[in-house]
Amino acid sequence: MFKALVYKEWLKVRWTYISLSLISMLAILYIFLNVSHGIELNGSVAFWSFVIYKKYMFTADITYLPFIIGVVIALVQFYPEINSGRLKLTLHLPMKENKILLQTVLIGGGLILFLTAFNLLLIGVFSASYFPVEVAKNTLLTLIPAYLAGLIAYFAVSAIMVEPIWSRRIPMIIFFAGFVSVLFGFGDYTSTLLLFYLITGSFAVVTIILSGFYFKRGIK
Amino acid sequence: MENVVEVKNLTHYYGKKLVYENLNFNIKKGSIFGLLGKNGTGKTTTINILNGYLKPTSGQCLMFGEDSYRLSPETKARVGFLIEGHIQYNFMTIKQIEKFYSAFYPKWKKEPYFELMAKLQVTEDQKIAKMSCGQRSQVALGLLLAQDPDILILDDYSMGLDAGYRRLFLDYLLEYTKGDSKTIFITSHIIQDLENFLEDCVIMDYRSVLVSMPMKKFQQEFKQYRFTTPVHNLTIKKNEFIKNFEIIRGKASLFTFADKTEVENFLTKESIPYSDLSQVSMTLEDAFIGITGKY
Repeated sequence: MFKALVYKEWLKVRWTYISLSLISMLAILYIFLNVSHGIELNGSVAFWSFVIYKKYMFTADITYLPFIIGVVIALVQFYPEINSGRLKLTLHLPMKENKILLQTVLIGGGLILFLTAFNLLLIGVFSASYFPVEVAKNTLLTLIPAYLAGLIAYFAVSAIMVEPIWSRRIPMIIFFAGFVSVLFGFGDYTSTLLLFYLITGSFAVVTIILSGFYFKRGIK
Repeated sequence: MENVVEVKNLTHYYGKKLVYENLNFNIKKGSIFGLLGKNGTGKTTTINILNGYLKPTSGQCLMFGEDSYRLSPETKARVGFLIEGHIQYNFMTIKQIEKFYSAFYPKWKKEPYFELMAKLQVTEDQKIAKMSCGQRSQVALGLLLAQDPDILILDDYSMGLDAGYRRLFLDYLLEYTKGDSKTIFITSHIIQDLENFLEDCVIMDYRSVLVSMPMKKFQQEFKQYRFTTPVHNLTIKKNEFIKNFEIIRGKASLFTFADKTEVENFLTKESIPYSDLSQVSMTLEDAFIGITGKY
């Protein structure tokens, strides 16, 4: 049954997912073309010192990309479900409703996680080819909150879409917008804070169960 | 006979608006049951409660003996559900949707589905989103038949369908379910199609149930009488005896379960002047409008 759910979700998101994967690859290529250009133009020593002493974030252009990916995947995955009450079909499948909803978001979350890993691998490889390993490592660590924001945004938007009533959707939007915006705020973050966000953010995964509960209790 | 569905003292409110109070009915195994009523009388609300998509304000609804709000996966597999408007996963093709659903149902039979699809003269790679409403209704029906459920719940199967597709829908439904002790629970706003189809029915009005009985009994016992009266503004209030009364320029129509003698006695007792009292034959649609009223 899980395989069938994967099949259904993949049919919904495949073109969007492939497009977003290509866009993120092109964005990463663009960043490192810029880096290469900067090094050629200014010389590697000047460019390095700019990165190391002035804390120039050469990946700044893709900071919001994971967030956009998370939101778009959630919209593409859940709009067909909530449109015309199609979620009723999904919840009617012979499985526990919570299990269906959780597996559905885990499929989307898994796809985003795979894309995240691929993006970070690309960035890591490119970074390590231009800079010392320490810089490559810090670049990846600096990007982790942005990618975490993308994942949390995915789970949050999924839950917000399944939630049937706007009076509950609005507080959810405000809460998650605040929660996610903090992840874009700290350049000098600590790993403790990141861990805190990782743990609290993981609760976003199960928010859909609450939305599903309200959907089931009072569909209009 | 075993009841597949039991609705006990069901009451539902949307906010402060009462949909109905103390709704009671049972659906027997193997029967064809119709829930009829005008728009807004609570048919879809009842279906949502039955499928566990809505928690009733009070009362209980049992499906195969289980509380409908907490149906187990095994029971859900026994229930085939057609959503109003023949909604399906329209991002899938004919082939993809069959592949998807077949993984969930142990009794899956793909033959009736593909047989119906062959009649549509569309390719298996046709996306459901690009099909007409009539074609989508056949996809939804084919999937239901392939699921081979013990009860089919059809929420307004006739929505958006022309006469041909409506007939095709019911013909196929009957053909594939006869002799299999399948239970059919159907709602529709096009009453005449169900004339020789339903075995039991509940006719709902706003906030109450008007009729709950076998269909044949309703058609035999519910009567329309016409008479002429010089009192052009005559009003007769509905009660246990008079189910509905209408008058246009002295031509009166009275709807009741009573026989002609009882009607005559009533009119005489109420001192209503009348002439040409006669019983008028009715189609199911006439009877439905007669009992629910035109407004």
